[in-house]
Amino acid sequence: MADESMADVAPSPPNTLPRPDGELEQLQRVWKRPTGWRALTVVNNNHVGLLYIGTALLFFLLAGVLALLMRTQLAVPDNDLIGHELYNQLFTMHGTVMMFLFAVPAVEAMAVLLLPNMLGARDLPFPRLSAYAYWAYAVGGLIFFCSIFVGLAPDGGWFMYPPLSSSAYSPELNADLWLLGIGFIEISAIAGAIELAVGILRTRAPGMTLDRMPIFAWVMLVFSGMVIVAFPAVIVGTALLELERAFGMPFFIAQKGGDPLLWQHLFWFFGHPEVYIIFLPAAGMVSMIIPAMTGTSLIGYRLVVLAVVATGFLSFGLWVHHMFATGIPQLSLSFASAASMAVSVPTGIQIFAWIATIAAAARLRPFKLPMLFILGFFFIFVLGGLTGVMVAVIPFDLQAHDSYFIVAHLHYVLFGGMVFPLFAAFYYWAPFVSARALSEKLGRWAFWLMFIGFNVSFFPMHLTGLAGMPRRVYTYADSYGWGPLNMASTLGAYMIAAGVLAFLIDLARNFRPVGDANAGNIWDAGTLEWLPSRSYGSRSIPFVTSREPLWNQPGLARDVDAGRYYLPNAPTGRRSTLVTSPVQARPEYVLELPGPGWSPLLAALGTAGFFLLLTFKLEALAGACGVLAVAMIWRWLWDADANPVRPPVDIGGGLRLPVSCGGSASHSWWAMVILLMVCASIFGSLLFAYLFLWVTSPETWPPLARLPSMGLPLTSTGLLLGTSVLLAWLSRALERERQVAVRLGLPAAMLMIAAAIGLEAHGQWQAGLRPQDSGYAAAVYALIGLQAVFVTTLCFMAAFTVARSLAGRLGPARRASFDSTMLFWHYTVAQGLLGLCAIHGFPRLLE
Amino acid sequence: MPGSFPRTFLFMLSGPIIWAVHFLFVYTVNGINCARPALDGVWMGLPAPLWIIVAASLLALLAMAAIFLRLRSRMPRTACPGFIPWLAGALSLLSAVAIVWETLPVLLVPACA
Ligand code: HEM
Ligand SMILES: [Cu+2]
Repeated sequence: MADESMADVAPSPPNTLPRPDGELEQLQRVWKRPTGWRALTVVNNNHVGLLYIGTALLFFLLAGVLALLMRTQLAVPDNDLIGHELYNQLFTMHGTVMMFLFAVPAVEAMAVLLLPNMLGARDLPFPRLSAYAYWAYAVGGLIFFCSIFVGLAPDGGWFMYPPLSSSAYSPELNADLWLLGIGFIEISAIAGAIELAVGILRTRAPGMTLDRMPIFAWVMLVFSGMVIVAFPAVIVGTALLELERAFGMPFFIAQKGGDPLLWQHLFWFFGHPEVYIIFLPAAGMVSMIIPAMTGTSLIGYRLVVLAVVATGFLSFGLWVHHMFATGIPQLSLSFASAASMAVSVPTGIQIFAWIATIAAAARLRPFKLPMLFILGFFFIFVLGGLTGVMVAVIPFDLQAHDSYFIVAHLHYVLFGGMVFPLFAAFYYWAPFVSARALSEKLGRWAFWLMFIGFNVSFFPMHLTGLAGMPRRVYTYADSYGWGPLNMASTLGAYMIAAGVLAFLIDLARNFRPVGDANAGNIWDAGTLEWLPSRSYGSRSIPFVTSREPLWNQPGLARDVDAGRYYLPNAPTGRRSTLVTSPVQARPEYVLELPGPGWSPLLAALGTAGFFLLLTFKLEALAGACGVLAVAMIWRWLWDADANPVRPPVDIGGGLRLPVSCGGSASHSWWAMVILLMVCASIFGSLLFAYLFLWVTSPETWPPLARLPSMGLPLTSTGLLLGTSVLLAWLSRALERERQVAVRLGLPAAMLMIAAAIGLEAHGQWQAGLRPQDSGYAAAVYALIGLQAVFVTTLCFMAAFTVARSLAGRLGPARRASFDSTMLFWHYTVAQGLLGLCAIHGFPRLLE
Repeated sequence: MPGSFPRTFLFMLSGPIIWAVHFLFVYTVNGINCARPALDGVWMGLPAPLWIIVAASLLALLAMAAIFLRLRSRMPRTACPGFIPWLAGALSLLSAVAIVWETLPVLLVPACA
């Protein structure tokens, strides 16, 4: 496009050579990767990213073994190898592990590994958060997986519809394991998303304006936004189902004014975007690989950005298309159907952009491995898209619903749309981490076995489906005539397995992620991750003047490696990176980053232990783990807001920047704002549940007489508003260094906000409402309960801030902990006020 | 200017955000209308909710156009100058198409069958 010609003229590198003695050694020292058993304390995103990918791959293999077991059982009619109970667990675990423990973590892991270098950062802003997210995922996921060995694996399908998953039909622990296990893995995904979003917006190399961002960064930004909006819905869903199972709060029990459809809404509001949460990053990788393999910039960069952002939004309008068969009004279905059509426009745009880029190739290397996998992806994904159009047609869907046709469609889309691009990415980016590239020869075996095996396995399923074979059956009678097709599917599945095996052998033979050496830019690609790099990323941070700086700025790699660009050193003696402005990427401040430490690992172990032990009703042990988690998080945040009395530092070229920064320009403020979006999304889902139950169960909506009188909620309102005013005042007191006010004011505010929620609960209880009474009552107590969780969190935050004040770690220029607490506080007050309006205002309004 | 970021971003995403609000709104109106027919009424031969939905769609389209026309010239410059307004405009256009598509069934499909 013409954009390139309008790019700024490349400024000459700011630093002259030679660089001072000892500078490089210092850089190496502060970024040194811990060795021995201290390797567990690693926090650098490059290193964590690699572990992260390895673990995701492990789950892919584990879930694949489950799939092979299923396929073996289905190979011949009337097979009695696996009973129906185990089969139910197998498909539930296979689906759950593939979706939650492989697909989402795998793309998040790729981002954690690639983005710092791709953006030209030394690291993303919260390395310990990534480490925490990783460990929580790895430990929690493995324990969750092991449940299948003791017969405790969930068996309700990966979407766990109630009433099948309610206590009446699943009285055992299996379903609880799913609910707590998944709920908590979602939390880890959200933590990762916050890190990625702030990283992409704030740590790009100078000059990398929004419109010069690599497509993969755009994609991961949209990914993060989608995780932030979508995952809370399923967290709320799982929490409600767990409350129902543990305490008998009847959210989903129709006889008591609950509604099983509520689960489907919450689940699919997450579940449909989930498909795009998986697919978009894969498409983003394709958009990075094709230009490198063809030697041309991506054609239609703007259009692809448009497509990615539009998909991120529109895909939320589609959740209802998973519920075509549930009796929702026809017009409502049409809205979703129309949105389904709208979302196919951007997907089409992306595909045409790729084809156009290939057509414009300067040097076409279609038969290099990454490209081969991408061609395989095209073929399979387009077929999957076509069957997708078929099932978007409501009458056809009613026919094909829950048959093997759907199994075929979903694997064409998921395997074709995500696994093939991911393998392309493995082959493409291996030289970026490994001292040796992967083998072309073995890779070809892997590709052809997987590609042919995939089609042999899944194409026949369209036919078995049309012939009437329902999904999730563990066996079938010979007389149906489904035998030969199923045998083909099974043989194909083993071929896929052989292909994956070839890939693993390749890894074992050639993959050498040894510390400080990598094979380098063997594809002659144009983006920053291909700069020479070590533990510390690239030696200096370049000024970027185009989308493919390695192509357009001659000598860049050499200049960067010689330290001619910004921040060629560790000016504060610790790890640090450059923070730039979000739109124009102008350098703003130097951010100090933490080094290795035990707290993220221990905090993750505590969190995992808390949730899993709670499932087994071991409250005391769970409590101990919870305390460990809180203590470790406290430990890690304690050092976060470093002493600010430090002069600005020189980052080269005469540019002096402050170290760290406060208020609304700081990265911690941004993370807090994103966290609040997550909170708002949680609250929104819960409010939706409350209103939805009103719509569907008019009979149990309470007569007004049972609402408490207005006195209590009005008092609560006053208390809430009072605390907000108090905090605003404390903020100004802190400005004037009045520590005593902070030390007394925060506890007072804590008491007031706790009293507000206590009064509300008391009022409902006095009015005779019990959580088990009805769906309505359950929803009211859930709203109150959520507020109580927030108030508890606030108390921890306020206590932390007071402790910092007492320790002399709080001041006018060192107030991040206070600011975060204040932001969260105002949000909680707003949420409380809205909750009160809903609980007391809405029913009165309807009278 | 760091302060301009939220404005830039909201402007860029205004089309899809309006689409999302519109989608939730019409979905809710129709859901409530079918679940609680008591709220239903007939204006000029057409059920009231249909009027509401069509009006909401027109309002959404107008809002998109207004925001785009008002703010497009007040965006920070990036490497290629038209990028942010272009993205905002294209997103609005696509969202507008989605809104029109979602409104058409109102005229074709019975609301609550
Ligand atoms: C290694 C190749 C794979 C094979 C042979 C395979 C095979 C199967 C089989 C036999 C079923 C059960 C169908 C039934 O009984 O209803 C199934 C279900 C499923 N698979 Fe796969 N699969 C593979 C890869 C994947 C991948 C990569 C994903 C996602 C990223 C995935 C996601 C799912 C889901 C979501 C279900 C539905 C589970 C449920 O019904 O609850 N699969 N697969
Ligand atoms: Cu869907």
